[in-house]
Amino acid sequence: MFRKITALLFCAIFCFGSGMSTMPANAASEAENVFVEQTLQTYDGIYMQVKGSPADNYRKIGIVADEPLAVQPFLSVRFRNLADAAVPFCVTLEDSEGNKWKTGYNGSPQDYQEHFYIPEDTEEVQTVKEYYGCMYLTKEIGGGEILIDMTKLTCIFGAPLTDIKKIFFGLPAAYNPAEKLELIDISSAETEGLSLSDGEFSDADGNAATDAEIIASLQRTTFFDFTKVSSDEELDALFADRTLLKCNNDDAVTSTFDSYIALGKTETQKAVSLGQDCMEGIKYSLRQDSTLTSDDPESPNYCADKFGYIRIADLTDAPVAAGDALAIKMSALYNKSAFRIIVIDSDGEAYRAGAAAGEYPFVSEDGKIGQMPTYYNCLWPEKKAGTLLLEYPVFSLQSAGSCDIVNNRVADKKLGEIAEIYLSMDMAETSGEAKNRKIAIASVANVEFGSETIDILADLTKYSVTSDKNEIADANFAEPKNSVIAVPMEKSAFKNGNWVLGRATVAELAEKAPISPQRVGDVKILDNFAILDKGYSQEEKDSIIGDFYSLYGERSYLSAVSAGGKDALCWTMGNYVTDYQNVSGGYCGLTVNPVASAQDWGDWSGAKGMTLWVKNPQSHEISFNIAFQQVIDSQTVSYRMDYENSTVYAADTRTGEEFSFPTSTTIYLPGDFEGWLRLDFSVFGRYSATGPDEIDFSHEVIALKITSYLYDNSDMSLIFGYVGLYYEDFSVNWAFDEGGKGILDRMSEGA
Amino acid sequence: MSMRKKIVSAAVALILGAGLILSGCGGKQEEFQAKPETGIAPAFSESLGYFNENPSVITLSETEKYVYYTRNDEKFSDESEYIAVRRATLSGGVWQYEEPMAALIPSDDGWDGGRVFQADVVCGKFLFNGEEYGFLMAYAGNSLQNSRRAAQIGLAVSKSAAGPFVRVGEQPFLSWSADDYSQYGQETTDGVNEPSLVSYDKASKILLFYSIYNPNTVNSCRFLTLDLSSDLSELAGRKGERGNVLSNKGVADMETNSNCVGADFALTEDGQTLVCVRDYNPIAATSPAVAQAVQVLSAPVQILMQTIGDASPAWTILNDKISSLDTAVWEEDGKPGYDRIYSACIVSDGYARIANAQEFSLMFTSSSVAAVNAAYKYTPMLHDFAVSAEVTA
Repeated sequence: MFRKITALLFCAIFCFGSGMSTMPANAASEAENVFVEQTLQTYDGIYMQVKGSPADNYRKIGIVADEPLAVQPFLSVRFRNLADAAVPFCVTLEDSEGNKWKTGYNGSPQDYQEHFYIPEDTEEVQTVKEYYGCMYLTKEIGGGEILIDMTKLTCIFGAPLTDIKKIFFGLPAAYNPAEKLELIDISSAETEGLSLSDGEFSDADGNAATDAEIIASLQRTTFFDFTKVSSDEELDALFADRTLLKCNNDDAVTSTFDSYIALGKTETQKAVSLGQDCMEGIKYSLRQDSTLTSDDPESPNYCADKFGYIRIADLTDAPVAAGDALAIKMSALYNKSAFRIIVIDSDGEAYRAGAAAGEYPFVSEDGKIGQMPTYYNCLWPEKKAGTLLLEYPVFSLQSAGSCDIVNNRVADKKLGEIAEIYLSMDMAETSGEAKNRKIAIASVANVEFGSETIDILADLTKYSVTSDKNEIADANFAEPKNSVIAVPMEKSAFKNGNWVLGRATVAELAEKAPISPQRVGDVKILDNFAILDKGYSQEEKDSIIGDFYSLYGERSYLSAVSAGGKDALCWTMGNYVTDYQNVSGGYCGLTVNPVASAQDWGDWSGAKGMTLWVKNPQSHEISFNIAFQQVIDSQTVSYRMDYENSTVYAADTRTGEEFSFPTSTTIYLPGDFEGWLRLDFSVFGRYSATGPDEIDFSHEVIALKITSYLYDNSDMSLIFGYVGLYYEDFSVNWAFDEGGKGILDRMSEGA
Repeated sequence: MSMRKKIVSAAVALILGAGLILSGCGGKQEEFQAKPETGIAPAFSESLGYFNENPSVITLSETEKYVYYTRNDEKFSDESEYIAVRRATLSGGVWQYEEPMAALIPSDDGWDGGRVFQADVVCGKFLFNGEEYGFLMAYAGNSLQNSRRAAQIGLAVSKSAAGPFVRVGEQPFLSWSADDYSQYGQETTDGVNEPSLVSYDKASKILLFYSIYNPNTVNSCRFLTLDLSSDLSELAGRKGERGNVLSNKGVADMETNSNCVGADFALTEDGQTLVCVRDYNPIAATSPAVAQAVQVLSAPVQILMQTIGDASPAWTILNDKISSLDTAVWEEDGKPGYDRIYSACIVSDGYARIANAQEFSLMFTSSSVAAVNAAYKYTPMLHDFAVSAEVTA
C-alpha cells in the first residue's frame, strides 16, 4: 500500500511520548478517565477519510477562487490513496455565472468514460474510468495525477463554463466506508503542442506522442494547492473565511460534514484512557473441562454459533443513547485471547465489534495509543492492560438468530440506545486455544468526543467476590445490580456453564517488557522475549512468560531464563518417549504474536530478512525452523525457511566470530552458539496450501511460528533473546582491508 | 609410540638423510612395478603399490617447482599415509622429478597420529615461536589406522619448500567432532578436510578453503580469511563449522545443488578473479568412489566478500568437464583415457597465483577401477594437464 510519511514518524511519538490528556470527563469514584490524543502523521496535502454514511451519499470540499481560472482542456487532480481500498471521487465546477458541470457519467464498470492518469513518480500515462457518476478509482490506483477531460463533463445547470470560480471535490461516503485519500492540489491543465483526438495525443504533424512527451507538454495553472496550507489552524481559517467550504451532495454548506468525513493537515488519533484497575475488575475465562461446541450436526454439542456470550453490562432499565464510541478498560490475561464485543440496542438488535481486518485504538496504562488488531471477525488483544476504543460505526449488525443470545433480531438497523453489552469468546473444539483464553474487564464507558464526555456504563470494580456461587459460574459478585450472571446469557446451557469468573492475579496481569531500543543498528526488534519484572519469583516468571507465547503440536515447555545479559525465553522440547503424541507430524510449535510496543510490528515492507538472537545451550546441533503468517484475501498464508542448502549467516556475540552455515530442510544451529542469525527472505518459501508463491509484504504479518522436530530434539532447549528484521545488506566477515560491513558492524551503526 | 610408528619414523629418517626411495621395514630396495597407464603419462613414475593423490603444486621459478601429494608409506597398505614432496626442475623443456621426500608424517600420538593427507602449501611470511618461515601447509589428518574419516585440519610451517614442516601447535586448527551433531550417537563423516590455501597479499594474509561434511545438513565448501601476521603460536583454533559458506551460484554439473567441495583455488595475478578446479559430480558409484572428471570455474573475488543472494557474484564454468576423453592418447593402443579423474590442483606460483584464467595448468589424480584392477587403490597417479578456457572468464 502506498504510504508517504512527511513529518512526524509514528515511532517518534512512542519514543517521545506525546500522548497528552485533555480535559478530564466524568469520573467514576476516584479513578481518572481521560481523553488521549496523539499525532499520527502530517501530510503534504490534506487527508480526507470517510467515517460515516450520510443519507445523501456525498460530502464535498468546496474551493472558491478569488480570481476565476480560464477553462482548459483538462482538470488536474493530484492525490494519494491512503487506504487499501477504492478512492472514488467526483468534481463539480461552477463558473462566475453559476453554470455548473460535473463528473456525472453514470454507466457501469463496462460502460464508462475514460480519463488520463499519471501514477506518481512514473513517466507513464494510463487511463482511469468514470462511472457511477464519479471518477471510480479502484484500490490499485495508488496515487498520482488524474487529468479529467473537460469535454466529458456532464452539465448540471446552465450553459458551458466560461471560467472556473468554484470547484467541489466530493467523496461518495455512503458506499465507500474505507475510503481515505490525500488531496494535494487541483489545477487546470493543457498539453502544449499536442492535441487529443479519439483518446490519443498527437503533435502538430499528427505523430502519436509518447507518454514522456505528453507529460512534458503539460502546462498547469493551480486552482488550489493544499501543500501551501501549513497547519490545521490555517486550514480551519480557510474554512472560516469561506475560501474552503464543507458541503453536502448539493454543494451546499452543511454542519454535518465532520460527522462523515475526517479531514485535516495533521492526522491525530483520539482515544480514551479509563482509570479503573483491571486487578479489581472481573476475570472472564473458560473452564479447562469446558464442553466445547462441535461443528458436526450429529454431535450433541453441535452449535451453529461456536461463540459463547456473557453479559458485562445490563442497562435494560435505562438504555443509554450511543455516543461516538464504546471504551472498555481491560487486559488480556493470556496473549491473544480472541474475543468479540456485542452491543444490544433497546429494540433488540445485536451489533458486533470484530471484523475481517483492521485495528482499533488501545491506550496502554502509560497513556500511549497503540492498536489492537481485528481479523477473523475477532479482536486479538495483547496481554497488556489498557483501554480499547470501539467507535460505533465499526459495529456491524448481526442477522437475526445468528448469535446465541436471547435478544438478536433486526429492526431499524440503527444502533440507537444501548441496552446490553456482552463479551463473546470462541468455544469451538477446533480452536485449540479456547480454554486458555482469559480477559479481565474493569469498566465499560460510552464516549462522546464532541462534548468530551466519558459516561461509565458498568464499573466492574464495584463487585466483590463472595462465596455464594450459583450453578452458572464459580464466582459470584455482590451487589447484583448490573450483575453479569443474574440471568442466563444465551440459548445454549452448556455454553453458559463454561464460564468461570474471578479476579485476575498479579501474575496474570503481568506485561511484557517494553521493547527498548526499538532499533539496534539496521535491525527493527519485533520481540525481546522478556517480561516487565515486578519482583516475581522464578516460578511466577516461568508461568508468566508462558502466557505470552502459544505452544502447539507436540509437548514443549517455556521458562524464563537469563541469556546474553538479559531476560530471555527458553523453549524446551518434550521427551520423545513420554511426551510423543504424533501431533502435527511430530513437531513442537511456538507462536510469537505481534507486540504492541514494537514499532509497526506487522509491517515488514523494506526488510531484507529476519534476524534472531538465539542460544544453543547444548554442545551439539539443535534443529528448528521459522515461519511467518499473513492474512491474504481472508486466508492464512504461511512462509518458512524452505530450501535445502540455503545459507544462514551468524555472529557469535561472545567470540565475535561471524560465519555462515547451510541448511537442510530445517536450520541446524551449531552447538554452543550464542548470538545473531540472519536469514534472507530469499530462503523463505510458501508452505501453506494456498496463497501467492511470492512473498508480498504489502500484507501485514500477523504471527511468527517456530517449529522443532520432537524426535531429533527430545529434551533439548533453544533460547530466544530477540527476533527482528534487518534492513541493510551486510558482508561476509572479512579480515583484510576493503571488506564491507559485517553483521555486528551493521548492528552497531547509530549506537 | 606404537611399533608401526617407530618403523615409519625410522624409514622417514632414512629418506630425509639419504634421499632414498621410501621402503618398508629394513630399508630394502623394492621391485618397481608399473602402474597401468591408460592415458596420458603421469608427471612422474612411482611403483604400483604406492598411491599418489591430492596434488598441490607450487612453482617457485620458471625452472623449479614442488609437488606435494598424499602417499601411503607401506607398499600395498593403506593403513597410514603421509605428505610426500618432490622437487622438479625444468631441463630441456621437460620437468625432471627428484625422488620423494617426506614433508609431513603422522604425529606420534596426536590428533593426526593415524594419517596425514590432502595437503596444500603456499609461500609467505610466517612467524612461529619467534622464528620466521616462508612456507605454510594446511593438511588433513586423523588418528585412524584405516580410514580418512573424522578428519581435522592442521597447519605446519617450513623454512624450505621440501620441508620438513613443523606443526603449528599440537591441536588441529580446524576441529571436527561427531559429538557436535547429534545427541543420539555418532555418525562419523569425513569431517573437515581438503584444504586449499591462497595468499591474499603474498605475505601473511591467507585464504583457507576447506570442505566440511555435516551429517545433518549438506556437505559444503567453506573459507576463512586469516591474518597470520602475528606469531602462529598464538593462533586460536576454531570449529570447522564456523567458516564462511562459499557460494555455489553458477556451479553446475549432473548433480543438483553442487558446490566446490574438495576444490583447489587460485587467484589471478591481479587478485581480481578466483579460479577453482573441482570434482565433477556425481562421483562414481563403483570403486573407487571418486569423480570421473574435474571442472574448472572462475568468479570475481567479490564472491568471497558478498553475502549470497540474488545479486551476488556467481561462478562461470570455464571448462565444464575434463574427463577420460581429454586424457586419451589416441595415437597409442590401450590409452583411451582414465576412468577416474579427481582431486586436481591448479599449478600456480608460490602464492597460488596464476597469470590469467584463460590458460593455465592443472595436475589431477587418475586411478584405475576395481572392475579392471584388483590393486586399484594403489594405482593413482598424478598428471599434468593444460587448461584452455572454453568460455572467457
